Amino acid sequence: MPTRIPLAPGALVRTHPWLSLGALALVVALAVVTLTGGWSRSAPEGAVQVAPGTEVDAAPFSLRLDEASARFVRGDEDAEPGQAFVVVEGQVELTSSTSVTATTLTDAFRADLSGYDLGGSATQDPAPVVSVVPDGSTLLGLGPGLRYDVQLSYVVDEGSVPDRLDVTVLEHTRRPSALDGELRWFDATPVARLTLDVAPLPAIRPAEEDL
Amino acid sequence: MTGPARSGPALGHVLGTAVVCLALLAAGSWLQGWLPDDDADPAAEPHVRAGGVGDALDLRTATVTVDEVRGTRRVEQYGTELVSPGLWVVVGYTVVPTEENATVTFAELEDGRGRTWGLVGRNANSCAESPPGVPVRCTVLMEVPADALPTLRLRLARLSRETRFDAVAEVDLGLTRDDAEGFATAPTYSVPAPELGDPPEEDS
Amino acid sequence: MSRRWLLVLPVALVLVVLATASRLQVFWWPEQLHDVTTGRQGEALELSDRWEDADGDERRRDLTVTLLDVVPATQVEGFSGPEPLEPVAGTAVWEVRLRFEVDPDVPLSGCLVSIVDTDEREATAVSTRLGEASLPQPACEPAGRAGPRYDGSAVEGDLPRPPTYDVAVLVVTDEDAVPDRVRLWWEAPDVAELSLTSR
Repeated sequence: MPTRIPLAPGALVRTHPWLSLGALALVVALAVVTLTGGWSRSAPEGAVQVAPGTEVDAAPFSLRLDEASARFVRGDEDAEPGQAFVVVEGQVELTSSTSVTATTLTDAFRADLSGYDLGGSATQDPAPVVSVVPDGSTLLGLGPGLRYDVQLSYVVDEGSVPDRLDVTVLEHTRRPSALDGELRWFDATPVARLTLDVAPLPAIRPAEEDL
Repeated sequence: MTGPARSGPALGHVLGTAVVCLALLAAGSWLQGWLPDDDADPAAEPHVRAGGVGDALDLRTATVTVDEVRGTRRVEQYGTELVSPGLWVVVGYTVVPTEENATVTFAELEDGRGRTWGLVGRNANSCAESPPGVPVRCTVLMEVPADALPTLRLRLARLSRETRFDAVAEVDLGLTRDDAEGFATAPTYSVPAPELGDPPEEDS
Repeated sequence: MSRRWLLVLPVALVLVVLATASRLQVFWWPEQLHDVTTGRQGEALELSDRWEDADGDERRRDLTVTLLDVVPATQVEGFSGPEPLEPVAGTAVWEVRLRFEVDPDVPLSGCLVSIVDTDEREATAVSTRLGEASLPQPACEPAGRAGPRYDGSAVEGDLPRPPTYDVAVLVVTDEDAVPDRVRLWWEAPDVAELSLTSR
């Protein structure tokens, strides 16, 4: 068997200086790119300000928010004494190919107001109740390809109904959960912000019906 | 052990090594994508029993038959009317358990474009547990966009959270574009509660 | 390469099967009703039933149960007293009559009762609607006289449970099912199997 001369790095560099230099440059370039976060976009574009009524793509939804108003009545439910509803009207459609639950839907919105969550405790980031306009039913999730007219409603203190409401629309990414490996929508990223004028509450609260 | 600096390996040799390395890496990453990963478990795939409307499909623990397929824009369940922006597909089916009490709690629609509609939101499956040999008539209702209708298939299985290793019935609902038009103008459909026992005799 | 290595293959296969068999013991076997106490209709059967309390500790209850009879049910308890049970095509409803002799301090809620027919099909009693009637969940305690809950607390408004009492459990089966034996259990793996003598 012919013996091979062990590859002496010095000899290789001396024989092929340009090749070695090129390889070194490549390695340095790859190292720099890797250390600065790879080829993917280093910073998301961030949320853009949009006008009410603009269609927004916020994976897994395509949605539109049109107008907001303050109300004492939501469907056939009266607000608790001292409280009122802030209702945002719009449309939402699921663009992914599998159904999602209500949590994924409510996670797509963040309204800049303090209100009450479903359990009735005060929170800075209340989740809206999403109801379908024609029938008033609660939308507890939705399937692909269906475009619903919806109302997002928040429960707030009657005294703290805002004149204008800032809503951030967030998109999510579908990936396996780190805990149980199940595919779900994670990593909320703001994609759009919009400011809606809130139509004020009616002057008088509808009278409680005496039983 | 430094010998006299002779001429290093030929350029051709170096390039050849690099090409082989790259080829091996490429082959490795292709193989990585092709082989089943840790999560993939082909042996656990559900056993699909395909059929059409009216076919009795054997799910091992029960026999499932899709009896009728309806569609409408409005359904009424528990006294509430639900209006769909698409169409409600309402499927009546019968489950006959084999050896032990059984029911169907998994239902899913899929269209030709790979879109699936599960039991989330306002979609509902109304079925009951039945003893062996006793048919139970159940109803599943799901809202889908009208363009999904011509390719819709319904899958039914025992457990809503777990179809691995289990038998799954897959029924081609046989709907057409014309059905979509008919469904859009159909009256409100009132969803019946699940019913145990033989279906009422057809009038002869 | 030596072909002798092929001889190792069956050994390796056996090892694989043995190593994965632990899953049977962990996930499957404890959930099976494999600890069977058998008895016959009309004879008092002594049971010793294991159950797990909220802390995960194993507890034991001793009771005596007698299968009195299994007869076609004719009525069901409605909102305002017993109502006649209308037959539903394709089904039969059986009344399983059981006598319990058990210390009033022993918790007995959540029992399960089934009828195994002569074709070895097992129909378990569940709360269900049958025609116009609502069949109740099976209960092994007399109505209004339930014993303690599993955490030891008493059911409010209930009288103490008598030491001996009879219950009737309604079980729906296929119309042509012929009952062969009755099974009674709480938690796996203990089960009492009482065969009928009257058929």
